[in-house]
Formats: sequence, C-alpha cells, structure tokens
Amino acid sequence: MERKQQPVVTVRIDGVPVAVPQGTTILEAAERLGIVIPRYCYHPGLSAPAVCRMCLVEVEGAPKPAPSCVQQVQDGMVVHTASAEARKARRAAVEFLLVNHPLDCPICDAAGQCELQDYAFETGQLRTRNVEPKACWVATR
Amino acid sequence: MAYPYADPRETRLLSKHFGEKDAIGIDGWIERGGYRALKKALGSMSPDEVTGVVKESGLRGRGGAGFPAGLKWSFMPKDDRPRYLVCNADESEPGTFKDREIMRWTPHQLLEGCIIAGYAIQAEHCYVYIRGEFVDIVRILNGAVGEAYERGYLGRDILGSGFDLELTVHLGAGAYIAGEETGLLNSLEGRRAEPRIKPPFPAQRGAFNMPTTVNNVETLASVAHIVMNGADWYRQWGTEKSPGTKLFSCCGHLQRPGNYEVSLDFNLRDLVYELCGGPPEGRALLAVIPGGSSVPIMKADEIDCDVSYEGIEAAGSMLGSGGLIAMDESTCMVRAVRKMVEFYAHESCGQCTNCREGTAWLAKILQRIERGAGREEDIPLLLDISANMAGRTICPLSDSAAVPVVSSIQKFEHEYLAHIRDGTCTAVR
Repeated sequence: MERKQQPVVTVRIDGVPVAVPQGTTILEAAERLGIVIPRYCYHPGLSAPAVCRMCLVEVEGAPKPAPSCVQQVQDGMVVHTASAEARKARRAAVEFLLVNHPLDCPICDAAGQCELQDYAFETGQLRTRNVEPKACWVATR
Repeated sequence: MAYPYADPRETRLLSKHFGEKDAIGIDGWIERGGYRALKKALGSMSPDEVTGVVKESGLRGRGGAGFPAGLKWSFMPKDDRPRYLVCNADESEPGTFKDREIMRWTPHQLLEGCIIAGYAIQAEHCYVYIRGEFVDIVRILNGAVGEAYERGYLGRDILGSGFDLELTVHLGAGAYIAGEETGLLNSLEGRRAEPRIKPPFPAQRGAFNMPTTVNNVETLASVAHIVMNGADWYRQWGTEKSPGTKLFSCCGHLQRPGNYEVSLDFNLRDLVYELCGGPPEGRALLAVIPGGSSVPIMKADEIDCDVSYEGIEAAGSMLGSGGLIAMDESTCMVRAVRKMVEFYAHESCGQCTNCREGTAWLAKILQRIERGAGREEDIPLLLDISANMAGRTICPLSDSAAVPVVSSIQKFEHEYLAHIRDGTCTAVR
C-alpha cells in the first residue's frame, strides 16, 4: 500500500510552537517539547480510555478542558497545560482520587515513588476536605 | 374512558390514540391512518427529500438534548459502509415515562417512524434498544414488529420499493447510562455501557464501528406525521426555534398526573396548574423540575414561561426529556436532592474519576446534612465539588448529578441552612 505523507500541523503549547504530524495527540505533542502532562490511565502501548481526567488541559476557544491523551492537535491550536484553568482541573482530579484513598503516606511502602503523592503535593492538597468515611456510600431511605 | 386524563387544551398528535386498545394492532393502526406516510415516503420521495422535510420541520431530538433531527441524519456519510439506525427506547430519566406510553399504545407509530428514518439514512438494520424493565412493552413491540414483517413493512423490498430494512428489538439490562447514546451503542454491541469519547460521533463510527444515527422514540414517532403532512403543517405548533408538540410526563404532587401532549408554545404554569390540576388540595407548589432530574429545579414562581426549549432555558432550566416533576411544600428539598444524587451515584458507570468519586462524595455529604450533622462549610463544598464535576467527564452524567445540587442551593439555600443550623426541616407536614 502506498504510504501517504502525513500533513504537518503547528500548535502552540504553553507559548512554544511545535510542528507535529496530523493525528498527534496534545499529550504526545507536549512531550516533544519536554512538557510532561500528568496522566494515570494513559500508556503509549495501550488504548487511551481518557478516564482518569488528570491530563485535562486548556485549549483556547474550547468550552471545557480537553483530555490531552485523546484530543488530537489541530493547526493553529493554542494549548495551556499549566494555566489556572488547567491546574484547577488537575487539582480537582487529584482531590477526587484522594477522596477514597488512604492518606497514610508516612507508613506507605510506595511513598517517595508515588505519582499520586507527587501530584497531591504539587497541587497543594496536604489536607483533604473530605470528612466522610472512606467507604462505599450506602443509600438511605 | 379517555386515556387517564385528557384535556381539550392539549394538542394530541402522538398521543391521539393513547388509551385505545384497538390502535395497538396493525389493522387498527392502519384504520387510523397508519403506514400512509411510509407509502408516501417510499413511493414518491427520495431519501434526501425525506431528510429535507424533517430538516425543514425543525423537529428537535426529544431525548433531552434537543438536537435537530434532520441535521443529525444529514451527518451520515454517504459511503458504501453499512449504516444503522438505533432507536433509543431506554427511557430511564427519573420522572420521564412518555416513550413507554408511545410504545404501549401506538407501537406501529414508532415502527413507521423507524422505517421512514431508516429509509432517509439508507440504513440496513434498525435496532430498537429498549429498557429491560419494560417487559410488557417489549411484548407489545415484538408483536408489532412481527405484524409489520408479515405485511411487508419490514424485511426485503419494502412495499416493492427495493428498500430493505431489518429491525431488532434489543433489551437493555437496566443501567441508566445505557440511555446515553454512545453507552447505548457499547451495550448494544455486548460491552459495558460505558459512554465513548466523542469525536468520533456515531454518524462516523457508531454501532459496530459503522455510521449510525441514534434517535429517541418520540422523535421517530413524530417523523411519520411530518412526512405525511409536511414541514409547514408541523410548524403550525410551537415556536420558531422549537416547532411541534411535545409529550410531558407529569408526576409528583399533582392532582392529575400523567402524559400531556402540548404545543411547544404552551405555558408551563398552565400545564402544571390547569392540565395537571396543580398540587393537592390545601398545599402550595414549592418547585418544578420541567425536564427530568438532570435539569435545574425551578421555584414555583419561576414557571410562567413557554415550554419551548428556549422558553424554559430563559426561565433558568431546560426542557430536557419532558419529565415534569412537581413538588409541593411538603417536600424536603435536601432529601429530594439527596435522593436524586444517590441515583446518579448508583448509576455512574465509574470510568471517569470526577463522576465516580464526585457523585458518591456528594451523596455522603447530603446524607449527613439530612441527618442533621451538616456544617456551614458544606454548602460551598457542595458547590465546589459540583463545579469540579461539571464538564470534566466523557459524558454528561456528572453534569446531571451536579445540576440539582447547584440549583437547589441557589434557590432553596434556606432549607439547607435550616437543617445545618437548627436541625429542622422547612417541609410542611
């Protein structure tokens, strides 16, 4: 089969322009610039379910934050991975993940090699706003 | 006896034959003018002409989003891949029971719409994805499908036109999220009903990865009437932006609950007070949810508006699916919202973090407030969690769970404060 030359598109990520083949995701394009967008459920060798909602970034002109692991770049797209909007979305995802996660870093074997811990620190969530028991909710009458 | 409650101010287009047992069978339906639109469409119109008429009529999707139906059909790519029509009969929005009645009383009305829509998009197979709890309705619908096959309205070479369409009734297993169109497609394919990331939209890659159109029951049932009588005829009802009629499933604290079909320029207040008879004797109306539990709650004094999509939106809510829930002053708003949020927490498919964790967190907080253990800071916390849930997930379930929380705090904050500060409830017992 004849291989077609992929058209190249130029996007601006955190102010830096980058030219990538069409069909590249925002997350991949950012990595070319050395920008690592936080992610949990994405792995280059697997399909991207886009469910952890950690990699949400702000795309100018879009009504809501976009999952960068599946959103493909378009020519002229302007992406912010660390704007207030993007950071707010990421902070929310970390907070939600911590709602039902044990907060026992001092005695946890994974401490120090834990991305959740890193992101919790990065987003400044050393205390949780959650006062509910860490258990599955049960319907009441 | 007329169908549970009828009112002369209704515009009964889809519901005209509700309550007539004879209309269920194919002979009774043909006597009432059934399948004439199909003959007209297949006999004298091209698929594009059918799409054109529906586009001109301005028919908007009746499932909740209100997307123009004709426009949706025109998104179907014209290549040689097989195309599918999916009828979304997984009606599970709390407070909505209109599709059930369309299928119970006039199954052939739906089938005729399916066949015409199938012709318009040149589908080869139509799947009716029906809610699994509708056991009796499934029996009726399957009977109707058998009759339609016997008469040559379905199958090969329908009415000698050369158009083939197979139709399968597929039972869901009871998940709310299977009513979301891409969740529905996954469920139809035998997967978990987890909504898909859009794009690609179903018109590009839908059921079995092929171009697919998903339409609600009420939308498809309207199609036959539009094709038969024309776009201008349909536009005599409703408004410029919301033409036609709409079924409202009215429930809650009403004297005459039930399905009412009204022109889309009907007044919401009249619908509640005149057609449904208002709240029970001696009780005052507290709030109305006009379009199923996923739309903002309206206070009793906010409902003087058109029932059109734009009319209700201007009044601060949404038309949604037309599942109207009325609440009188005996309602504890905190409890009502807690029940709704528990529903969403139960029905969240769990793929997206914000929805899975957020719905459960909201439910726990609301339970605690209702118990009397609420804190003042819970109110901003609820709002903040809701803001973090809305618009951050693959599908709108997360937004839907946030909606009643936010709108009830905006409009009934004093009820929350009564629970939090005084441990009392403002509901009139």
